[in-house]
Amino acid sequence: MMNEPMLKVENLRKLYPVSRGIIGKLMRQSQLCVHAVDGVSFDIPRGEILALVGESGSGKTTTGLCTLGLIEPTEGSIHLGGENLADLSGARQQKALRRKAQIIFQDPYESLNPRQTVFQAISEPLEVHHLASTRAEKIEKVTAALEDAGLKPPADFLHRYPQQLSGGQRQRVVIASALVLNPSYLVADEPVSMLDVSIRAEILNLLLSLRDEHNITMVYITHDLASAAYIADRVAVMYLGRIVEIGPAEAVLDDPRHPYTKALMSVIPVPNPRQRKKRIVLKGETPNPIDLPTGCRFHPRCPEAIPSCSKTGPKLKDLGDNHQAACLLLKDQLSEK
Amino acid sequence: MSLLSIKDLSVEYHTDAGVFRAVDQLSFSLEPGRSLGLVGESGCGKTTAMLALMRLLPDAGRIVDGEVLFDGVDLLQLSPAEMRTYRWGKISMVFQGAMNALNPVRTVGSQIGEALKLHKTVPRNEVSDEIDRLLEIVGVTAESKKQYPHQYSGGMRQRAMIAMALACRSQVIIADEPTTALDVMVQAQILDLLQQLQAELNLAVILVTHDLGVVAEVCDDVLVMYGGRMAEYADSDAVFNQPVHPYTRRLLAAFPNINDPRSELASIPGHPPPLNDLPPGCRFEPRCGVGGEKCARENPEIIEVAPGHYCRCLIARAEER
Repeated sequence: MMNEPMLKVENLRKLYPVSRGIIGKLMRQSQLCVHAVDGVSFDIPRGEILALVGESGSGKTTTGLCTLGLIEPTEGSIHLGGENLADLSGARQQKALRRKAQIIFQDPYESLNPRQTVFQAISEPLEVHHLASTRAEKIEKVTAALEDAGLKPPADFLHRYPQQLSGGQRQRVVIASALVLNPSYLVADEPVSMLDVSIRAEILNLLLSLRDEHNITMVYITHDLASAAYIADRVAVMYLGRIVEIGPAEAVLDDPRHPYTKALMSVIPVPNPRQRKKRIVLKGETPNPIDLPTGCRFHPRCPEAIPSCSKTGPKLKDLGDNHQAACLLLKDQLSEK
Repeated sequence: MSLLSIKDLSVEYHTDAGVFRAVDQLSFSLEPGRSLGLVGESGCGKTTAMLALMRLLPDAGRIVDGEVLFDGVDLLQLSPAEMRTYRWGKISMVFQGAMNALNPVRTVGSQIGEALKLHKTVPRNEVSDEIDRLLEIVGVTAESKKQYPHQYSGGMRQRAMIAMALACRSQVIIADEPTTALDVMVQAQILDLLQQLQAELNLAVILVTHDLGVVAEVCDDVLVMYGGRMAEYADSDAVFNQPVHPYTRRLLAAFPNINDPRSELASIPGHPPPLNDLPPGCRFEPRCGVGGEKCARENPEIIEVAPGHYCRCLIARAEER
């Protein structure tokens, strides 16, 4: 059982119907859908960090929320710790899931209740799950979570309100309130993008140490490939609801194979003017996920597209070393050799 | 003589809670066709300094000292009416959160047209053509001028804001966090556009940002601010490859580099000093880690560590000697 992945996502699809309006309904226009996630599969072994990287609208957050059972998928299956999320329908089972699977949101200024002290915010999950019978036990568990989240000494923080904390400290409180339940799976949705550069590193280092010390399996959702490269074991690059490239972080970053990944890599600002390089700037913006391009979804913006790209949708192709990318050109390159 | 030259600019906020000096003795200069990156954490005074030189400070803000010389004219001595010909006419600003800076109930074209009519940049009968021309420069199709801001994507709105900044043929453009809320690919498009405008129109550009990567990609010179003061000021290569100030060094060590993803990132412990409780000596001393006893007492002066490379640090001076 130990070799079983912590998270197994198979052919996940999530469609959101678009309102047609009353006239559309009367005219019997066909139902349009936003294809937020469209056929995504991956798995994460225990204790590994997978980064889901993509621009707005790529479906990375929807994927993350589906793995927590916060959104019901349209199609596909998700197994977390060996259990199929679709089978966990009862309230008790749902509650058990919430205990082991937690999320950290992007904005620590909005994810904390301004009228709750740090102690109240972190002990609330304990009350919900009846995990502490006495006040002493509660304080002990909250203190331990604060320490794990790097807020030391914990006693200094227990009775503070969010407005008395800096952005980095708030995000640590959010992390502590996820940790207090001792979760085995954590989704971190852009946990550092609202923070100042000088303190981003400490939150990333904290997430890394949580993985090392508590063996927590993590999905790190970001639009920033550089931070993904720093924290993740594996990286999955998403474009319009699909994974276009996935593999070990070093392989994907050192040798990006999909034209979209190559372009993304080339536009990441590098903090050294001597390393300025030719940016592959894609024209236009990500197409509307209602009216998707035919064939490969990236072909209208792809600098390397060939005519058949508009007809055939590429499947993920194995490039060895657990590295996969979905591009028709890759097959051609290989067969030429 | 520089196109724009700021000398010893100091700005205070007079509030009920007291008087806070948000910008203290800031100096820099800018030539046509060059770009300056103004870098620092939130609250370091970078936006306040820019609002001061545009004379757009909120009511509580006062410029208490310094000069803002544009082509030799001190903007701080001008009457409000005279200042209006410089503001947008010579110096324009693209504000942070341009998404919200556009009027939602008017078409984008009419908003650009308003600026053109107000400043009489072109005769009235040419306004429509000029709007088309400006939108074309920033890469928005002329048909889109009849659309409203909500029909624009984030990147297009930012382009429209840049078109508006260009409307009065400004020679200096101040862009305050112009790409912060945008996706990386759209960010790259906007940075490309700014670089292209800088080269083609010989614009001077000030880029205000907390993103060191963006500065390294596009700026010729860099000014690092901390606690309302200049910490280090030099050309990009010197700041990124031979940083002298401990703050610059630590900021660089905290910033992930995609070319070197596994090198350990070290955050800077603590946080910037609140303006009402500034340390008596060097403002970075409580977070510095390498400073000596003297740093806690003595205020460092600006020194020139190499030609054109300025730094406000006591240790840097000791190293130099």
